[in-house]
Amino acid sequence: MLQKIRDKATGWIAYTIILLIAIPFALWGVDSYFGGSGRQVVAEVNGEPVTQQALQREVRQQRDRLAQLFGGRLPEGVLDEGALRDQALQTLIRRELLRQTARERGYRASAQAVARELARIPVFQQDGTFDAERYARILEAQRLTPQAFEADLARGLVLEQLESGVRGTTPVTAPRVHHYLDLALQVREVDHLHLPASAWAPPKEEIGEEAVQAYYNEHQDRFRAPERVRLDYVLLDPAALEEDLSISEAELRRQYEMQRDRFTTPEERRAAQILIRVPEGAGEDAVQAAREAARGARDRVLNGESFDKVAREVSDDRLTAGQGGDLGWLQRGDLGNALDGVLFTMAPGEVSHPVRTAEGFHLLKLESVRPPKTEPFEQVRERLEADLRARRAESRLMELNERLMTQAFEHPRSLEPAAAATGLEIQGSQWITRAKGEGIGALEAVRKAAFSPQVLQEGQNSDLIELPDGRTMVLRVARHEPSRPQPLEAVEDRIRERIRTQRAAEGAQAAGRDLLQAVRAGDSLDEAVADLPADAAVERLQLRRDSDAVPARVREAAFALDGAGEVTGVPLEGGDYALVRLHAVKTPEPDGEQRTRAREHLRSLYGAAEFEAVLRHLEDQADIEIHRDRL
Amino acid sequence: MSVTTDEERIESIQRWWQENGVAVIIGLLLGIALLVGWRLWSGYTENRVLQASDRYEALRDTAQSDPEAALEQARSLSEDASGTPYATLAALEWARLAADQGDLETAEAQLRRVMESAHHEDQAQLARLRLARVLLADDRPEEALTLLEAETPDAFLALARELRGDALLALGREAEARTAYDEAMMVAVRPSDYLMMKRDALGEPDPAGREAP
Repeated sequence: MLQKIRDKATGWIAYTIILLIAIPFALWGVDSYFGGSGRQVVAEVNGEPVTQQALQREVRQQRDRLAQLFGGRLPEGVLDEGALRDQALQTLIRRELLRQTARERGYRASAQAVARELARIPVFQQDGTFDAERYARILEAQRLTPQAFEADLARGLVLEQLESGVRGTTPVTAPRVHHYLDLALQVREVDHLHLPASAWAPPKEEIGEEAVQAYYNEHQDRFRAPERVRLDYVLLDPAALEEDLSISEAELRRQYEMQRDRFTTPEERRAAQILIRVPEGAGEDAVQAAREAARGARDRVLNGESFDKVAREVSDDRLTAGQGGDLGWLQRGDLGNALDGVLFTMAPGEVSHPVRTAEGFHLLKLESVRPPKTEPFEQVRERLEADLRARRAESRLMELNERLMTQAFEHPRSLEPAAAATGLEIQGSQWITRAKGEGIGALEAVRKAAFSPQVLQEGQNSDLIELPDGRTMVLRVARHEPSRPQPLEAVEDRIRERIRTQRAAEGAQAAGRDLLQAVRAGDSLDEAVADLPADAAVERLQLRRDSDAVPARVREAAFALDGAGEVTGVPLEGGDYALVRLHAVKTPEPDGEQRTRAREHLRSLYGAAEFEAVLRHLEDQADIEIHRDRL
Repeated sequence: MSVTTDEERIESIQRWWQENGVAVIIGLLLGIALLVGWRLWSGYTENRVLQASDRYEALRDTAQSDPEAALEQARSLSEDASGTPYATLAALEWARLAADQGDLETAEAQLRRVMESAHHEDQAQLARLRLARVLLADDRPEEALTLLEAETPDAFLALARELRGDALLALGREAEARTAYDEAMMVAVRPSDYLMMKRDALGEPDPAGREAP
């Protein structure tokens, strides 16, 4: 049969078949044939993948960097995970783009440049200079090869060239520095008038019933009491559980016996050794010679020379030879099986025969013995009890949680079965709204569960909720009160206050605008102010770009004024109103330091903008595909 | 199938060799020569790129400490490294150093060269924008404006519009400058303090058209 196929499988049919098989490999590679790693690719930049793994690493790094800004811990709610992810992805895509660009355009880093860079990395330095041994050790610990690490450095260098080739080469001419400083250092002398809304606030009595009623009718939706619920719940508290457990003396004794090892310090023996090293793969002769040397050393000791002296002279164990072969206190297992077997059967003062290990021949001398010591029951009783209590409580807790969850789930319309199965009481809460509550209502997790569709609309028990402090609970809604309008009497005072604020603001704005018109028409500012109800006085200010003597909006308006004498009005938050009139513009002469700083500022400004433009241009030119479904 | 003896076979091989031997040997030698030549050539270019890279690194260091010496280094590198990417970087650095030291003529010449000869669009655009800045510093706003008329890729639009504003301002065409700045603010990722100050200094557009030319 095979022979037949072979005979026929020449000629074009065979080639056609082979071609057909080859096409998919050629197009999609072997990877896709074996299921491939396609799933982990979150984006492709000109066909080169950005992996999920890299993305996660980048997200982590950016989050850590953010956390550092907040002093180590990110406050909850600061972080928008989606935005963070997008930003990390953009960083990775841009890095990949730069890498490709550097490669295509032929940027390279020489071996010397890499070596220089390497020498600059502080962790590889010993006393301020590069230490090759340290370098090798650190890489080994990170499971990196020098080749891979240095290739990485070279890539980094090349990217830096590409970046600094844009950022660092942006010219900043002297006239530009001058122009910038003209604007930045400018001082504007202005007349400033602040009209506080409070000066126009009408007395409370002036606001009549009709106005209040009208406001109430018009803004019904603002005066609604929020939707609220009262909850029934079963709460499981691990702390309470631990207290309830009782543990008998007999049980503790039994535990003590079972865990005797834990409270025993094992036997320790102090020993010294002489090592005659046998190199790995040494011939029979060399082994024999080493054995003889070891025997010779033993004989010298037996003939009266001190072990200490012989060890100093002949031992090949560099670490101990200097201390007369002293190995310190040893436990079983410290030396390995062969030596343990000898050491732990010797009598104090004895010197062993040569013992063969992979290293060579050892002579051991036992100096002294510390017998094993066990702490008595009384001493460890409390520790034992605490451990046992914690363990019991934990398994009890797991069991109760399990029951709570199952019963609450199987009987979704009542908490009774869950309470009965766990022996816990059903408790009731105060009124809780979506936004706040007291007691358990203060916990966001509880409020979230209480207002979830499952609990609120379908009237079922909640899932098991884990509270931040380790307690767990199941809850259901006992009473529900939908959002409802509040009666006028309940909100009357608030409405009156609002109307007052509103009228005050309107008054101030209107007065301000009138004033503005009058001044623009040619009245003097001081004259116009005289009729105002407030004791508003015009003040002359010297405003710089960073002055905080006035609100930011006033300052901005002041710097937007066109020429001396021009005046503008600025409505402020809280209903106040401000008037600014430009008196004079002064441009102080900058000093050398200011010039240098401005030049650097402009350089980094243009450098950053230009680099951003280059990156965006590369992005626009590239074929970038983002697999949103895999993010 | 014809039956051939070994002698006949040897004979036919010999005959073939006599006819084609020279061609085969020449072909082989040519192939080897090409291979060696290629290796030598690629070794040579590789070496040039690495040397240029090193010299560029050195240039960056010098530029920090001794701008005047750096000027000379940038000039020679931009000439020696032609054909490598470092020639362009050196030319840009040269222009930067010259402009910073007030030699606008040199800066202009270098930027013009990069703008006209760069292989990559982004570098040509950078050179164009920087050239416009140099022209403005040289009191030639008309020329800068003409330079900025050319079509600009989206990515460089924010920078180009701001410069256009600068040029118009220098020509005293304030209303147009304001529009240009406004456009720059719209497309910029993060408008700089400088741009905002320039825009603010031009005030609000006047609805009555008092300022319109």
